Amino acid sequence: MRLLVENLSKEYRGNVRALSEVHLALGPGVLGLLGPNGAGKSTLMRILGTITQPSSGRVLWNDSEIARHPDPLRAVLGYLPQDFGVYPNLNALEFLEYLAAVKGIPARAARNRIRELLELVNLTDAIKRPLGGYSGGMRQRIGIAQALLNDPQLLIVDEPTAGLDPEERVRFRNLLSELSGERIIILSTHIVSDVEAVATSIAILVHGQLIAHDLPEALLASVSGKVWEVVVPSAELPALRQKHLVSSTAHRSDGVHARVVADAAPEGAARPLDPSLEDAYLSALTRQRSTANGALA
Amino acid sequence: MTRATAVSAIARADFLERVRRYSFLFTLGFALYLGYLATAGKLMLRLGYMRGIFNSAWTGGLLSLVASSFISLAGFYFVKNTIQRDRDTRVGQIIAATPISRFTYVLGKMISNLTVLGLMVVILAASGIAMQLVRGEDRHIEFWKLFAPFLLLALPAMAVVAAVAVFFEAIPLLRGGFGNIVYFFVWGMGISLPFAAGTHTLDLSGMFVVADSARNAAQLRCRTAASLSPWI
Repeated sequence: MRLLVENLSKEYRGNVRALSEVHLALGPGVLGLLGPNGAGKSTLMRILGTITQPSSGRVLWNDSEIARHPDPLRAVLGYLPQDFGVYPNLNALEFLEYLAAVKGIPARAARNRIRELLELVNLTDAIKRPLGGYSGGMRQRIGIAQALLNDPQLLIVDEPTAGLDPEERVRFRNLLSELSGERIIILSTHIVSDVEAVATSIAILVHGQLIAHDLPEALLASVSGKVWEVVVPSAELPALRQKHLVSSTAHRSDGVHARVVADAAPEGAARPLDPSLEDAYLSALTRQRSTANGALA
Repeated sequence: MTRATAVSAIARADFLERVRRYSFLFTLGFALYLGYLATAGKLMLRLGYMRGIFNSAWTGGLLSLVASSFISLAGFYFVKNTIQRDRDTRVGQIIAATPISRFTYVLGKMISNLTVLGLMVVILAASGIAMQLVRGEDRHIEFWKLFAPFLLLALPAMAVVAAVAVFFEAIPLLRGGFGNIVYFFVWGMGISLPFAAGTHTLDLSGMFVVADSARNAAQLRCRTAASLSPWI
């Protein structure tokens, strides 16, 4: 089982470059695809989901090019788009039965699978309610269920936790952890904590360019010894932000505890901290912006 | 998994989604209203200076013409949104990532269209029994004579409308308002051309079929009907 992305680029009308020479080689495991809004994550997901054709480059699923032969991949693909929809007048059972048939799952097997999945996403109580009356989080769970209908070998989930409450997010993360094994999962998000718990590798996409693809440990190592806690009065926080990359802040009685990513300890009493993935991600983004600005200058 | 299963799944889901909307009830009400107008004598099919007795054959013929002429117009606009709905609801991108072929998808949508239009025809046909009894000129119900015109004229016409609606949606130029205008003129020509050309060949609504059948029946009873020609 292997997914290979080779020099993938996508340009939209008006020379808008959404992806630029992206290269990825993936085997079984969970890839956390991180990037700010507009980085090109959804475009990459849509190409991998065989919905959109690339402008150049190619994607190989088990050595077969998906642009020319999409069906072998589609047969084993689970895809949850970022902005997917439902038929509002169907209930969960009818909608999932419909998609199961379209995915080629025999009716009896589909019925059993649907029951399992509705239990898994905690929607058994709402099985007969029209989907139009579902909340955003409930719809998202239906989306997750439909993506898992065919027990996919490649599962692509684009911003899957949008609209989920904290409990549902934890449940979804656990589900992904359970699912990861002999399948490839690509989890695209801009929320670092979503990938922190489950990703076996992490890729960072910025302005259509892949700026990092590595193990979480390697990304953490890149900021090892560069994360500090600084306590400053609230009034001095803007100045600190101007000088350094501040990844998070917390107001306490003694001032603002700021988490700073810097090569050297900031002035004053700085306490070294263990780096988090969020520190590594923000550091990578900042480095990319500096490089881009330097290139422009 | 056969293609037939996928086709029927698409048709079923699409059908259920549509018939549970209020707009379906509105369209159905419109069809029944037209049926009422026809049996109340406000929409008439005349053979010269004569009209038929409201027995099963005449009621069936009249109502099937209502279906093949008026439902073929209003029904087209009602069903011509099945593919667009998948775009609007964004269900289409989930379907696009499945192994289903374009042909299977379009066929499922066409059958869904036909099922919706067919349901209108069936309800109109069933209402024909009530209309014949209400009219009360002949209270003897002959089911085959009442329903045969629906089966042989209205339903085939609906099949054509169902296919044309999907075709219009599949062609980008005909997808929007321009397509609606084009269909209106195509429908108008389909209805009026047989009369203008005086030919039975282009009789898409089946008006000549019903009129000829009625005239033949009349000829059996009355020789003076031999020189009559159909008009509404």
